[in-house]
Amino acid sequence: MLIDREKCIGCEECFPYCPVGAIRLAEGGSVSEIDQAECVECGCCYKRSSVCPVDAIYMPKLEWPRCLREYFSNPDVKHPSTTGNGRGTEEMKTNDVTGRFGRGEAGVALELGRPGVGTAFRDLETVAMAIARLGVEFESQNPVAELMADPKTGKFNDAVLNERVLSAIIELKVPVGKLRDVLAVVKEVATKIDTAFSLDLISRVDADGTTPVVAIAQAAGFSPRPNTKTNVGLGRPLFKEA
Amino acid sequence: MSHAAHRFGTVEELRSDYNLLVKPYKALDDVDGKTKEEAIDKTEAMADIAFENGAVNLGRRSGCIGRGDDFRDIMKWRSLQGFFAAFSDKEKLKKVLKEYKKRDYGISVVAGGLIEEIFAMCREIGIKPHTILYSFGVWGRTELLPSEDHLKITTLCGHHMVSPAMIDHYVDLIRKEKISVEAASRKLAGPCVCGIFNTDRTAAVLTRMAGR
Repeated sequence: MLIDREKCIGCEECFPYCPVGAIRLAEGGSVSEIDQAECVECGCCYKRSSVCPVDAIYMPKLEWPRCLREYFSNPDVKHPSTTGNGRGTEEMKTNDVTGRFGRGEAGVALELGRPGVGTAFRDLETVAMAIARLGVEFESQNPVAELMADPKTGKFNDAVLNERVLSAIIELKVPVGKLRDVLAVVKEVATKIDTAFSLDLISRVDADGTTPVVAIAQAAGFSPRPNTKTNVGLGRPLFKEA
Repeated sequence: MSHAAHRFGTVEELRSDYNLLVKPYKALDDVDGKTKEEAIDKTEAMADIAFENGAVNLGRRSGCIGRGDDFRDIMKWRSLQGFFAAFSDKEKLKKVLKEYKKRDYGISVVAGGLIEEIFAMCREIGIKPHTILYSFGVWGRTELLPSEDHLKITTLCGHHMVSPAMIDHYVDLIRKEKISVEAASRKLAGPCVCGIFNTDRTAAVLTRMAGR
């Protein structure tokens, strides 16, 4: 996102709308500017708010890899690789229909940059390479997957490493028996990155209303928050239970 | 939407914050037109039920009622995108889920909120929770996070379209009596177009932050 210096009146009305605080007064103080290193191209200061009284804010054509900022930060924009909006996948939202997560499996998602901190893909690479050493497979439908030069090692394409986004998700599915190892790596790698992340675990619900993942996570030093999201099972299955 | 499980707040505060996602399976887009149209019709019927039962917000990428958009206009968009809604009263969400079960639409439904409350309402209605997404908190450089009060509002939008600075801006305007708490809540709902932003909860947090 850019500000047209000829149009800008330096009113500062747009400042509060930036989720990463990238808008400031330019030298001299009469017009505003957007820090291009920090801007994640989310569109909050632009069409999403239409806050500028003189239409000085505009979106230039974004070339690769800068366009990744918009794909991952503006929920109105589709990822070309997945043709979906948002930063993740349908994960458990339609699991009652798709059977994507079966019994004995755990979904793991590390939402880097959330909530509201932002992240560079360099941090995603750090996390992905640490987890990849366990021999896991990353979710191929997640838009992060296409940025990996080598999904086996978690190595990203070097050209994207410095691009900043509001958030991006490392997503994988493992047998429940492997979850403890994954969580040990998560705990260790959390100290090696320059951002914060939210941790999600996904599990089928057993007949008695419990799930196997909570006890494993608690033993690894992770406590569940009291609020969750629950697929309540009203979808009509398109799969046969194994 | 995975962030719907990460809404900040005390247990007491979360007792008045529930969310709903109705989501047709994405691949329905690739099947025959009749099946797709039926799924869209069902989604619209399900949105009607949520709206009529007192959703405090409801929306999708075409707009949300929390910022003042018209419900009928929002639902004119024929899409498999589904919709989001927020509720401040668990009894209202329970009525919605009960109606969905009765009408057996066969479309996936995700309910967000306190797990004990969601499971209790499922038991009462007679539905079996299928899959859970748990939040195991925030890790890494947590010192970069804004204050707990800011997070109680910013995490109401999973895509983080509502900035902490915007909250401070409206708290300041409320203190100066230039805007009401309710109007400020609607303003904050503006960037979060999907409809999952709970304007009632926002008003409660703004009231406290503004010392009103």
